[in-house]
Amino acid sequence: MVKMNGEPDPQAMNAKPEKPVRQPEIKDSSEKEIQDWRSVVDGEKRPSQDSSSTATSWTLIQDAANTKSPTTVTSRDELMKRYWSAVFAYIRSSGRSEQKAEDLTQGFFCDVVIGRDLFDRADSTRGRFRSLLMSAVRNYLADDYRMQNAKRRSPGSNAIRRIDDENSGIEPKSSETDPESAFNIRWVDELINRTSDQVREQLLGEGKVMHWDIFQNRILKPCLTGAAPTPHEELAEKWGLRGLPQVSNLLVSAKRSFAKMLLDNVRATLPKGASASNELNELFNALGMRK
Amino acid sequence: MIENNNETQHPIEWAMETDVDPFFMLANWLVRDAFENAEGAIQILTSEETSLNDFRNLKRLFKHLRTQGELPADRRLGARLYAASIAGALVNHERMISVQSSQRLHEAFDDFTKDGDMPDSLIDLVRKATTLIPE
Repeated sequence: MVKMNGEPDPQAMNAKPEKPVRQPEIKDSSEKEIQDWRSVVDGEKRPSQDSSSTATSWTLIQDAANTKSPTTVTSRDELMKRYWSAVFAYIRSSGRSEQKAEDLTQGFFCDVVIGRDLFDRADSTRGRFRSLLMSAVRNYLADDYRMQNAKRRSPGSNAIRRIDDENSGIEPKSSETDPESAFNIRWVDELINRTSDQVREQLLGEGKVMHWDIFQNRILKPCLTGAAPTPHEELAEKWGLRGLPQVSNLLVSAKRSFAKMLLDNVRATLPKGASASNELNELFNALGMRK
Repeated sequence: MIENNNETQHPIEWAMETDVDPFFMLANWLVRDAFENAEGAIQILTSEETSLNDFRNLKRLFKHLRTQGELPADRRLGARLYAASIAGALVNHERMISVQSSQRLHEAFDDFTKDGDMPDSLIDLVRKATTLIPE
């Protein structure tokens, strides 16, 4: 027997006469209904995306690369915000100290992303932006390492080296996480946090305060903090709902909004036609989070 | 940073189901939210292990989806699985958990078996249940 969460009273469920299975609103089983439902899942019915925080990555990248665009600075800022922690995590996991990693992250965005027009080199038909960025960071660190070594070999006539220059800021790795995994973990975190903000905005904008609260308390908080999901009965009482079935139904509706937005966000970073779920699957595999 | 209590599975992995099994996704999520350790809607509806009480609870869950589902297709899925819950109780426990007339049940089960979006395992269940409807 499978235990039902919240344990509703089975007697109470049959207290009222059952309604007919077929009701007028569900008699129509035409293809239109299925199309309607699938169009939402497939993303045809998209919420308007007019601010930089909700724009797709490729839209932002194109705008950031276009120096004549009036919003190029905003787009660059938004992209840097999205990828900053992933780049920092990559550099930190490569063995650099925290301070050095911060400096290198700053340097990478200034020298490579802006200075060498990385956005201009990104092509949505050729591959993921994430891969391009990671490859660029790898090269940047190799350059930095070579430069630091060269400095050590040729200190110059009046060079007085500081003690912490000895190892170029490279210290034993503080964790077992390799740079690529560290980048991916942070990228997924950023993606989930950004998606949560977007879904919150969407649901609250549609007046679905209950949906958001239930999703937050049963899914998001447990996911983000490891807290136990708020029991159905507690949420039902809080919102004056009719028990577990109503709570669960509101939850799955919000869950679908989140899933759709998450996949949209992933899709926005991929070459045209690439599968968002395959990309997530690959990421989870890379992070060792698959059965 | 995102917590991962299950070391082998990312806590957001369910989001990928929208691409993998979009039609049954909502039902699977509902069942997993409502029942501890449930794998999915088809599994719980067809399992001999599912108790009569569980079938009543499933019926209640899908009844809500049938009447309050966000989209017409959600409501249609809710209606089908509401009927499947009644069928499951009939087949596995020989108990009628509905007060609907025999004629109504025959119509609902008949509609179910003609629905091309329903999986074979559930259609088999409903066909068996059709023979058990008390006259």
